[in-house]
Amino acid sequence: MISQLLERSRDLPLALIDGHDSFDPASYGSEKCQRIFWIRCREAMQAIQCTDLLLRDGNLPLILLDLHLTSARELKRIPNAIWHRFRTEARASGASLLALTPRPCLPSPHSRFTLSSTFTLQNLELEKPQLKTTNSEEAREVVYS
Amino acid sequence: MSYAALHLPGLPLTCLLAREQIDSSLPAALLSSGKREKSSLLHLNEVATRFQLSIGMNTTRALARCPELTLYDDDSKLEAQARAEALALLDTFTPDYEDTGADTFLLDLSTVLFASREEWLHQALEISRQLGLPLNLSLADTPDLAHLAALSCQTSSSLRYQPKASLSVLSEPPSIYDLPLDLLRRNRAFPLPQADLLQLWGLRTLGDLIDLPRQGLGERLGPELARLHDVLTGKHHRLLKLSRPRQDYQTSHHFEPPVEGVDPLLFMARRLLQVLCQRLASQQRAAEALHLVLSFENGAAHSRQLRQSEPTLDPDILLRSLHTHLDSFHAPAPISEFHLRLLPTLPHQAQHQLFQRGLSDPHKFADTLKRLSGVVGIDQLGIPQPAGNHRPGEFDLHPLEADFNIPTPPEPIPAYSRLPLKRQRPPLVVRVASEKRGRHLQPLALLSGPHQGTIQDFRGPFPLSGSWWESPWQQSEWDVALPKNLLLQVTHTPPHDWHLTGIYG
Repeated sequence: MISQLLERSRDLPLALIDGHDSFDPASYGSEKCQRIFWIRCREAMQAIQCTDLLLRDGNLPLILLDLHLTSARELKRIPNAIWHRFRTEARASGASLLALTPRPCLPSPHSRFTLSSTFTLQNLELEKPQLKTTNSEEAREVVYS
Repeated sequence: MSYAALHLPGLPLTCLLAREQIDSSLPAALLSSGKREKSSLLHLNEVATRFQLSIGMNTTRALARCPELTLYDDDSKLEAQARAEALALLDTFTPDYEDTGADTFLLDLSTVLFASREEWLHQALEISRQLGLPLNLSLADTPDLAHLAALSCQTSSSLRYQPKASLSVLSEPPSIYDLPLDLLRRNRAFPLPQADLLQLWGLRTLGDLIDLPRQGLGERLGPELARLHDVLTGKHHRLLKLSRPRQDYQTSHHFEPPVEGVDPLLFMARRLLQVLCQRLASQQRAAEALHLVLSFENGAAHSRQLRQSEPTLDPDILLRSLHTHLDSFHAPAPISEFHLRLLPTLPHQAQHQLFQRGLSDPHKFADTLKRLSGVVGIDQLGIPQPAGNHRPGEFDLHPLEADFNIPTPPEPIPAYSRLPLKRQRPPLVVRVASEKRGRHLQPLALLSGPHQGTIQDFRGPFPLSGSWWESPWQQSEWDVALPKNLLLQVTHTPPHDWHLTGIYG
């Protein structure tokens, strides 16, 4: 998904707030890495602080908060009020916040997507996977294939 | 009468006499540097000239002619101070003036309103009393005519202190054409090396010189004489090389008593920054950095240069960067004094691209970058660049500037796989059941860690090594598939260590 976001983001870098310091630039190559502003955080609360600062700043149009590898226990410590505040700040500054979490935990997002994928080792040698959207009842589901 | 000339006759000597409060009715001379026996006279006061002394005469000869002659050594610091005071005085008359020579200044009065010539001269001389130096002041239609008139007290209004303080304003000054040619013999602005020849021809005054035909003068004695002829007849009207005082963009404030919080400091800083920004604006400059020096009650000091993302004239932006810095700073003692200095540069001008989006507020973004550095550390944010050691998972971060000026990396980041990898940092130690196949150990199952199970499929090994010349490392990477389509990357470091280094997908 980051790869596809980077293909669209041209002028200003994508702010990637890496909540678990798990981003691997080698998976994306030089050209795309030149458009990533990578913030390496050691814990979820650091990532939340950085998101807050960037949303209030409002200069970067797209902020990706990656909490995908954050444990459920750590995610529970983030109060719901913070997500509401992020939504207000994003609306005020005109920035978009995309949060990646292992399970649905944002209380009132503008849109919610569920990413699912089925890969085998053969996919490591094939073309890069593309996002495809399917509709479901509760949320739009995005399948990585 | 739109030009004035201020002449301080014999300034290097008169400023010495004025400081020492020496009676200038006694003959005095200023010596050139070096041994006294070999030195010569640089300047003479009016009394000394009556003893047939002249500039350039050696000391022994001068003392033989005038035993009462008092000799002084040159004091360049005192002269520079007197000149600085004179320039500050001129700045009160008009902002447009020229520092013509060592002892003469020309003023452009075209923008100054005055009722009459005599009134302006009188007022100017009254104000000039604060210098405490004898001076000549003249008005003319061209700068050079005013300069020539100011060289003599006969053709200019003057201020004298000997034998008593007097101020003389000439309502109808005599013509400069009556001035002797000898006056220009040593003058640097109007050099007249042919003065002896002209005197042999019977010429005594400047008026005699302009009676000669200009073309003939130029052909026989050179273009300098033709130029002087033009100056004397008023045909040559040059532009002044305006002198602008050197602006300093710094200010200080002393706290009495010393303050402990940031708020009083920010309150004062805002006021002072407004003044400094106005100074910059008057010179069509902007601030590229703010230099802060804090002095503490215990004698310690702290200095920091806060560079701006782009040149600015907005005191609020400068204050914000100051506030951000002070928020993360712990003072060792109450602050007794602070000093602010703005580094001037040309204002930033850029043509925005129609179809390209830029930062809406670069200053705010620069401020945010500093705050982010405070949260995660200055080396934990930026644009990823290859580390140069080819070790998987290690990257450098190029600091992001507010102008997004990112250098091209010396070597590209190699893309290892088609699927993105989520790296485990630091790699997680796992127990792996394995069997030896050839030179490598092949993983069979993951026995510990967050993802355990039998390995259903694998790719590898991918042996990697490096830094053999200093701290060698060697490892084999394996891509393994566990049940439920879980794709992992595990690494074997000989002889028996296994690590989970990432998850694909």
